[in-house]
Amino acid sequence: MNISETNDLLYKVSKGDRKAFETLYHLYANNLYVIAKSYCKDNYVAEEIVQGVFVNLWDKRKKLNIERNVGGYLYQMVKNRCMDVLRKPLKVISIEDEDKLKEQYISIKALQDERASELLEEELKKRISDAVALLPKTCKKVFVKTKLEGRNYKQTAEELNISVKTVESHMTKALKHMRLHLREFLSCLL
Amino acid sequence: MDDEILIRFVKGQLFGKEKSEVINWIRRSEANQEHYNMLVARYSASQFNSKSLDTIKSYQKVNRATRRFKPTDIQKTLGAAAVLLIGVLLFGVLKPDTLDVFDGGDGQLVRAVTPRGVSRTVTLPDGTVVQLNVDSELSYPKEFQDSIREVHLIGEAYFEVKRDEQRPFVVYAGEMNVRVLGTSFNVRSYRNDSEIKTTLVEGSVKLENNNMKPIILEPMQTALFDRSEKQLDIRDISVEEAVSWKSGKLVFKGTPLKDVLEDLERKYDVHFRVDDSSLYDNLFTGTFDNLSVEEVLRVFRISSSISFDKKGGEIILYKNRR
Repeated sequence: MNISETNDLLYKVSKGDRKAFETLYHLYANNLYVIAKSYCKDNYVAEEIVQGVFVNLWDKRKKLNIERNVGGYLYQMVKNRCMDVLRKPLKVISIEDEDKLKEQYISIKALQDERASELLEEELKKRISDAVALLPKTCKKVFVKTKLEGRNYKQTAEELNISVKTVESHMTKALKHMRLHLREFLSCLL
Repeated sequence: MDDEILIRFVKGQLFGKEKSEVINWIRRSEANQEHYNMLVARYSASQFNSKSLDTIKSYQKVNRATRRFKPTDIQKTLGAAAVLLIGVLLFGVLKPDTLDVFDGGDGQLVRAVTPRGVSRTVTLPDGTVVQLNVDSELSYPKEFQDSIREVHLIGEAYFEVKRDEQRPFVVYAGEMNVRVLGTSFNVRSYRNDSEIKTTLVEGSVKLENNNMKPIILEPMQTALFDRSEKQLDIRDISVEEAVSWKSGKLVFKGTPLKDVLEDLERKYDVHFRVDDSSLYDNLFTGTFDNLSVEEVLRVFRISSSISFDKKGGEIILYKNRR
């Protein structure tokens, strides 16, 4: 899977494709959650941030810039939300709790660090493409078409000019491979 | 500082003294902070593809939220009364020195004035109740005309307008006129401000200005009129942002330091001097719920690179060289 393939998902989302939207969630939610947690230091808040980003993505789907890399796009949204959260608790501030405030300030600075941002954005893109890239060629095509582009086996078979049976066997192979490499976070997708 | 301890800090496994030590170490120098920044990023990336989040379960909530039918207007449930907020951000040229309502020199006009640090409530001849924020001035006729109720505002005020469909209520706020048939709204209109800000919480109001067609504002929207560009920009707003001042709160949302200081000067009747103009680049977000000015400054000191010093009647801001 390369950039244009994940962006195909984004394009589908912009057209209101629920399946593509769900796939996107399963592909990115875990890693975005990891990021949010590192900065906000709160599991519950981190999960809400990720969910919020996707709800927002869906709500704004018609205005999405589908030229942008989806990983970078989602990362930016998570980052912005983390900033909002980190700045917000001033509201309930107890003056005694200076450490917490300092900690938030540290996290805000860390989020604003461009080198760190680049690193995270790159890693985010890489993780997903890495696993897919390792698939054998036809296997990869079959996987991308059925799992990421939302085609059924019959459509995939027609498009790739192979039999449905071959699609099935490639899928079995692909799924086995993906389970091995992306076992954890793709398990729900497979 | 040992990376292992820093990572325990990222994971939220440090408490008390150990945690304070890490925090102080990171804040000690720019280099330490940068080291930490990269460490958090690298640590996060190392956790990618681990199953930290149950995405099946967590997707359920996203699924529900994105399928849900969104009611077009929450306002329907809020009843008939319109609550309108108008803000003209004009900065402190005017320095009213009296709290009294008195007859103005020009005929039947009445002026209600509040100094810095004090807000008050005024009842107009038609029964309309106006809560006047600090450093503001409202003028209105002793008796309203038969066809129209007109008032002039500099500063900020919250209006609960007595409903009277025969006599529209118009607030003149800078170049912006706000016309309502009844109900409640808030106007903020300080003199030197770059923008005239009008927010409607409920109901419907019409905005008029010489340079544009009248605009009907929807509930929970803010209209920002840029006075130099003559441009009108409509944005969504939360109730909290709209009427926070009434309950003594100060709400900032990506607000430039200059505006923050103006608000603080008005509310607390203090004077600031900025030592280093680069500080003006700071933006502030947060809500201060009836804190004292000392507490507000303390929050700023902790959450930004700004330090404060009191000298004479002034509070001096300078860059924190920590």
